[in-house]
Amino acid sequence: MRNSIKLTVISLLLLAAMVLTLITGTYSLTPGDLWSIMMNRADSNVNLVFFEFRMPRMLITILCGAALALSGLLLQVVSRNPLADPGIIGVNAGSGFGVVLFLMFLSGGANNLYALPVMSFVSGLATVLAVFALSFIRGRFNSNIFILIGIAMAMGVTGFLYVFTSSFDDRQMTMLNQYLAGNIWGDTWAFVAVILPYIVVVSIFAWMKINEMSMLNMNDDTLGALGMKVNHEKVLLIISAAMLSSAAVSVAGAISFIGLIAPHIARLLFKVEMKFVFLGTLAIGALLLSLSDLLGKLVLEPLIIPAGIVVALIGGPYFIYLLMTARKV
Amino acid sequence: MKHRWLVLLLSIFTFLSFIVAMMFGVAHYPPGEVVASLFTAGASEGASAILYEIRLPRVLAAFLAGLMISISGLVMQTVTHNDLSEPSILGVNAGANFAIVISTLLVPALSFAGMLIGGFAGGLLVGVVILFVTRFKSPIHLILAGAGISLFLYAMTDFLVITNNLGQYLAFFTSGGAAGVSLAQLGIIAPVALIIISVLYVLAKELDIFLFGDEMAASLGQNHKVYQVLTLVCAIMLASMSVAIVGNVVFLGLLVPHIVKMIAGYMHRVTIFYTGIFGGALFMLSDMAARVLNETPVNAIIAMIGLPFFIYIIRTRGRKYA
Repeated sequence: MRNSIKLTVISLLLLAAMVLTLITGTYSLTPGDLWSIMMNRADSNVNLVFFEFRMPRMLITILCGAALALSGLLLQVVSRNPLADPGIIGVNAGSGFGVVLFLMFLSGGANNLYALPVMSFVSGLATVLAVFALSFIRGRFNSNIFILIGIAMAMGVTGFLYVFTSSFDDRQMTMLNQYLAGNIWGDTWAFVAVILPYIVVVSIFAWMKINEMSMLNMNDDTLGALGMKVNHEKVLLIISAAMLSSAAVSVAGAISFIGLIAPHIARLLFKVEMKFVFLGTLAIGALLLSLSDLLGKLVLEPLIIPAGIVVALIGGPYFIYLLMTARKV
Repeated sequence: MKHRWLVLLLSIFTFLSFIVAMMFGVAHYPPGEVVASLFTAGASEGASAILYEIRLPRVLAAFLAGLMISISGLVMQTVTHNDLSEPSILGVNAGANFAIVISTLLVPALSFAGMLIGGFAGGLLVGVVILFVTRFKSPIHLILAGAGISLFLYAMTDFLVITNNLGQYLAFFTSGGAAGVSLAQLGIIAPVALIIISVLYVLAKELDIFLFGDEMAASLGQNHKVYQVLTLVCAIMLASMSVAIVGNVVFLGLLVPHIVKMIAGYMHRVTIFYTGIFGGALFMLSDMAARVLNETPVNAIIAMIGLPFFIYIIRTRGRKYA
């Protein structure tokens, strides 16, 4: 099959998942309702559910899924390691720490809508950048050291996270646990308005680096000889990855494995054509997260399983399979 | 003789740690009272009852757990040929925890011994996956495998916790700490731990041979696979028992063996002993600090020393992984 056909099929699947997300849930809509919404003839209840609850959540889900997947792709390209994932290298732990700080110092006072995601974003980004700064050895960025320090940082920050929780009450503890379980919570238009342009801009920046990305599977010396500023490019790509994943995690909660699986499936389908791998990664990431959200909502109704847990339940076995087959790491 | 001084120093350190750990907590006691309470066992009231009934089990549990975690880390580092191996990094702790949660759900009236066996089974399963899936291909592969498997198992545990309303268990596991351990439970764990450590002690020479690398071990006539599996099983048993009493303790199993190896060299006959005692003493102190700081999770205390140390190890020895 040609790559463009595969990409079309994936996009159609994504579209189907989007429609399913829009119509299912505690208040389920019928195809007839959808039609009347499109014709602008629906009653106010249906309109409310559709435009105020379902629509923003669906958009946030696909945006965050795509952002996490792209972030994983960038990390894998730069580290030349198919097992790299933003969650594994400390983004989630760092953002979780931001949530703890928010609950600790701000949640009682002025309830600014953006305070929580901003704190979680800043703290996630700061964690990755700290990991990044520590992984230079003799002035050269070392990607294996980057991954190892990321794992160490994830463990250490997770240990730290619970320092303040001894004084938390039940409500705060529940909120933290929900966040860490990857419950997509920032699902209103206000968040869509911020996240959508942000992710689009960073993704376009990454898209402009696509030639560098496809060349990075050669070794550093060759690339240097070809005239690429290897360190410089790696720095830019890693910073883009950090910006994408910490933004996604700040509204969607700690979600791992999307960044690991989506790029891998994309590479499996599209082989070496980096443009298709890039687009495929975005689409597959969005598809995976919206499917997980859908499954978490439907399988054990009325109990809602956070999307992050569903992703990990699917992603874990896939990860083990990857471990068994990865020839060269 | 260097070791005579080291043993003396370590004994003094351990003894002082014990006294200090007994002294400080929610209520503080003078050292005299601590010593007195140990000799008037069974006093039913006042300070010595608190010391004997509540604090002594906790301090002993911390010592035992620290000892088991550190020795487990030491053995894992040797067997996997990896400076960064330790039970929580390799995912063994997550496996043990998941299995403990599942077995308490399936059998609500499960005894403590049953819990230990369940935890061991879970830890072992992860050990087997890691052993056969990664085949120690490269150190970074191993660490990534452990991190990924841990994430997966945490998600499974989370799933069980959410569907069964077990919130308090999760908090215990992730924060770590020796509160609420009884002397009876220690009475089960201590002999088992002693047996396992003796086995490891007997195998110390084989562990030394591991340090030369797999090819050298084979050419020296070692039945490599057998000892690899045997020592790893022992290490996993130690780690999963520690999970049952203190939860998932991070970094300790990495920190202690490295410090010991820097001071006392690499011979396992010596390092097993030093690692165990030093790890126990260090964990007693960390647990004490956690208690004094308003029951802060002990992991936070250890992470403060452990994280910079870990990063230092990665930056100095990690170059061979690059």
